Amino acid sequence: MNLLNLSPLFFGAGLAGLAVGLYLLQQLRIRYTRVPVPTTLFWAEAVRDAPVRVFRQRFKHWLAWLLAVLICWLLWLGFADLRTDRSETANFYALILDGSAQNAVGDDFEISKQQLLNDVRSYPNPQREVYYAGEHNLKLLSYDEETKVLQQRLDDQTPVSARSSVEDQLRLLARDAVNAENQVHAIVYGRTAIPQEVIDDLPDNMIVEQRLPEDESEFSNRGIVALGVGEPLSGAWDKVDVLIRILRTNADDVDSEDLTITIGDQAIASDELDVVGDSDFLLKDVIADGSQLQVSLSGEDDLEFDNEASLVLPIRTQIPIYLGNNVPESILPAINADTALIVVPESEAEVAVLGPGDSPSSLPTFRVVNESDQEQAFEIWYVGPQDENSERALDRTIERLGIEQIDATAIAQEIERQITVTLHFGDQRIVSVWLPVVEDEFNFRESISFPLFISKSMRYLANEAPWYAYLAAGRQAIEQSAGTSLADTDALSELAVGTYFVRNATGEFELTDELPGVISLLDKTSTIRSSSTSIGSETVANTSPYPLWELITWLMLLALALVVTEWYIYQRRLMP
Amino acid sequence: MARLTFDELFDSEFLSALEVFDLRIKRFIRQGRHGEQLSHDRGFGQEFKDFKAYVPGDDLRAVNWSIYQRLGRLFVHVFEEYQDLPVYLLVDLSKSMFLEDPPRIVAGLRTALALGAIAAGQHDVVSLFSFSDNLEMQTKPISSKGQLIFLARQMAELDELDKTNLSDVLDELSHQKLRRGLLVIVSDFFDPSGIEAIDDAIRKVRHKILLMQLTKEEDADPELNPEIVGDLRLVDCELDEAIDVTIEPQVIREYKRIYGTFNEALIELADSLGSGLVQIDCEKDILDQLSVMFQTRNLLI
Repeated sequence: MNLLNLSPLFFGAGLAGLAVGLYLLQQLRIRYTRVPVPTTLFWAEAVRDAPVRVFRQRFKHWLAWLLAVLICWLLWLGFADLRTDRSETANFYALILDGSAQNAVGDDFEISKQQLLNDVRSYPNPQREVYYAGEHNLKLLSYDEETKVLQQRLDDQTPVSARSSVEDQLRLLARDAVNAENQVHAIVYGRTAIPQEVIDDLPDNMIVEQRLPEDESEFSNRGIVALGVGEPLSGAWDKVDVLIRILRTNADDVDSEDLTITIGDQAIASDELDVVGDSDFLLKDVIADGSQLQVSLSGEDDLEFDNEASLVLPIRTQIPIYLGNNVPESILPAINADTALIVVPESEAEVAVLGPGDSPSSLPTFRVVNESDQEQAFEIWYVGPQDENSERALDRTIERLGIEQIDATAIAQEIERQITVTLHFGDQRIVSVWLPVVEDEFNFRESISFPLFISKSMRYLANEAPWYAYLAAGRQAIEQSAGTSLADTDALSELAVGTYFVRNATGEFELTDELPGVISLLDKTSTIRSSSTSIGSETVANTSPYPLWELITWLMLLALALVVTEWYIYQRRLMP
Repeated sequence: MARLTFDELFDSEFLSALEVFDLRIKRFIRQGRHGEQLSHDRGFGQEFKDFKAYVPGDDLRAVNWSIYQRLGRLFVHVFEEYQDLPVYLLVDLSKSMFLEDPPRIVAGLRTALALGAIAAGQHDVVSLFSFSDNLEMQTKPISSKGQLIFLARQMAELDELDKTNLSDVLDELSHQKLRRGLLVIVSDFFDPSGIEAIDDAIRKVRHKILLMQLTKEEDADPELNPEIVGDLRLVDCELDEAIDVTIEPQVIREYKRIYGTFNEALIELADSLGSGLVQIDCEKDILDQLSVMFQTRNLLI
C-alpha cells in the first residue's frame, strides 16, 4: 500500500487538519435565515432547553461533523492516490513518441501524439517520463514535471526526415534499467520497426510495447534506399560508378524513366542508366570531380522523404610522384600498377620516392634505407600536435598504411631481426623502411599486402582527401580512399573519420572543409515499412495501465454515497 | 391576500349550502323575543312537553279538564317555548391571522359568516365583534337572512390590527351589558399571555362559548413547512420579537410536545366551560369541515 501523491506525514496531517477545520467550522456562529411566523410562543419554549449554536459553545452536531469529515477524508485519500498494488508503484513508464520518417505517413504522427497525450494522464507523475525520438532523443517530460506542460512541448515537434532513434532511446533506457530494481515499461507510439536485436538485448525487467496509429489505408510507397559510388568497373582512376537502389511496397515497378538524375546542373539521360536486377540502377563512369549528384523519383506515394537523394561525388586526381635515382626496382611494379600515381619531375611532384643514397627531399617522402641507417624496420614521421596521444596516432597511421597486414613474424625470421614500427613527430610526413623488407628475397614483396602498403603510403604522404561512398541517415560515415576498397569495411568503419558523426536526419552537412556531404538516404524500413514482430503492439486508441474500477473510483463512489446519505438525513430533519 | 373581498365572502352557493344546518343551544335563558331556540322555561309555547300539578297562579287555560274529570285532581299542560338566541361573533384580527398564505383570516371570516348565516336563518340575533388587543363592535346586529349582506359587508371591511390579547378582550366583553347568548370566538388563540390568562378571563363571560380554532397542519407539525429547515431566526409577526432556532429532531420533538399541550389545554378549557371547541383547518374546504361539525344537521352546544 502506498500513497503516490502525498507523503504519509503530509497525508496524516491533512486528515487531522480537515477534521479540526470542520470542527471549528461547526462551532462558528452561523447566519440565520429570517422566517416570520404567527407566533414564537411554542418555539421559545422548545429551544429553552436546546439553545442554538454560538461560537465556542458545546459541540453537538456530531453526526453532521462525522459525515463531513468522512467525505473530506475520502476525497483527501483519493487525492493522495492510494495504491494497494506494490507492483504498480514499482513500475516506471517511458513513453516514446516516434518522430521519424517512419511515422510521418498521413496522420500517423498526429494520431500517435494524441494517443500519448491520452495515455500519459493515466500514469502517476513520479512513474512516467516522455521522450521524443526524432532526429535526436529529447526528454519532453520529466518525472518531476506536471503533465499539463506536455501539450505545448508536443506542439513544437513534427516528424522529420530522419531515421528512427527509438532504438537508441531503448538502449539508453535498457542501460539504466539494468541497475534498476523496478520494472521498466517502454511504450512506443508510432510505426518505428524496432530491430529484433534491440529487443533481445533488453534486460529482464524491461518490457517494450508499441501503440500503432490506427490506419486502415494500405501503405503504398517506393523510395530510394541506396545511392553510392564505387570504383568504376572500367578501372578509370578519375571516375566512379554510381549505384541507385529503389525499393517499393504496394506500388508499381520503377523503371529508369521514373528517375531524374542531375550532376551539378547537367541532366543525365535515362538511357544512360543500366538496370541491374529488380531494383538497382547503375550509372557508369561518372567523372569524380566533386559535383553534387541528385536523384529524384517521380510519382506520388505515401512517404515523400525518400523520393530524392543526393551525393557529393569524390574528387579523384592522380598523385604526382618523383622517383629518385636509387629507388629499388622491387617497388616499381607496385607504383606503376597504381593508376592513381603518375611519375613527374621533382618540381611538379607532391611525393618523393627515394632509395638508399638519394639526396633528401623537402617533399613528403617514401624512402628505402639500409638497415644500418635506422633502428627500426618501419619508421614513420607524423605531422601533428605534440601533445596528441602518440599511441593512437601510431595505430591510425599504421592502419592507414596497411602495415598491420604484413606478416612481420615471417620477415623477422627471415632476416633474423625483430620487425617493429616507430612513430615520430616531425615537420613532414615520411615513411622509411629497411631495404631488405622490400627486396625480392623476402616474401613481403611477394605478398598481397605489398602493393597495398605502397599504395597507401603514397596516399598517406600525399594527404589524399577522403571521400564517402555513400551517406545515409543513422549510418556511420565511412571515409573512403583508393586503398580502403581493399580493406575490410567493418574494420575501417571503426576507425574512419566519420565514426563519430553519425547523423539520423537527412540534409547537407560538412565535417571539414574538405568533406562536404549530403545525407539523403533513410533506412530501408522507412521506405518499405516493416513492423516489430516480437513485441506487443496494439492499435487501441487509449489504454490505461490501471483498471477503470481502481481504488479512487470506489473512494469517489463512497463519498458520493455519503453525500446522498447526508442529504437524506437532512431531508428527514435528523440533522441541521 | 390580506382579506376576502365582499364578492368572495358573500358567495351565494356557499350560503345556500348552509341552510340545512341548525345551531342549537342546550339551555337558554328567556329574555328576548320568540325565536327557534329552545328556552329554559316551560310555559305557553307551541309544543307540549309534560303535565304538572296545578298550583295557584298557573294559567287556568292550561288546566287539563279531562284528567280532572277522571281523577278529580287538577293538572296543567306544560309547553316548550322557543326564543331567539343572541349570537356574538368575535373574530380575531391580530397580525397572525393575516400572515401566511392563505391567511387564517380567510377561513376565519368564512366560518364566522357561515355561523352568522345559520343563526340569522333561525331568526337569531347576530352581532359581529372583532379584536386583537382591543374589542371592537362592528355596527348593529342582524336577525334575518335578508340582512346577511350587511354582515358580509362588515366582514369585508375588516382589516389587520395588532397583537392578540384575548384575555383582556374577554375581560372587556364580560363587562358589557349584553343579552346572554352564544359567544363564538374565531381565532388561532396564539395569545402571548397564554391559555391560563384566557382561562381566567373567559370564565367571567356569561355567554355560552363556542371556540373556533383556526389551525394549519404545520402548526402541529412544523416540518411540513419547507421554510423550517436549518438555522432560523423566527420572527413573531405580532411582537416583532425574534428567536434563533436550529431545527433539529430534538427541537422539533419538543415543539410538537408543547403544541400538543397547548391544544390539550384549549380542549380542557372548552370542556370545563361546557362549550365546544371546533378546529378549522384553514387550508381545507370550510363547507366540508362545517358539514362534519354539523353531523346531524345541527350543532347542539
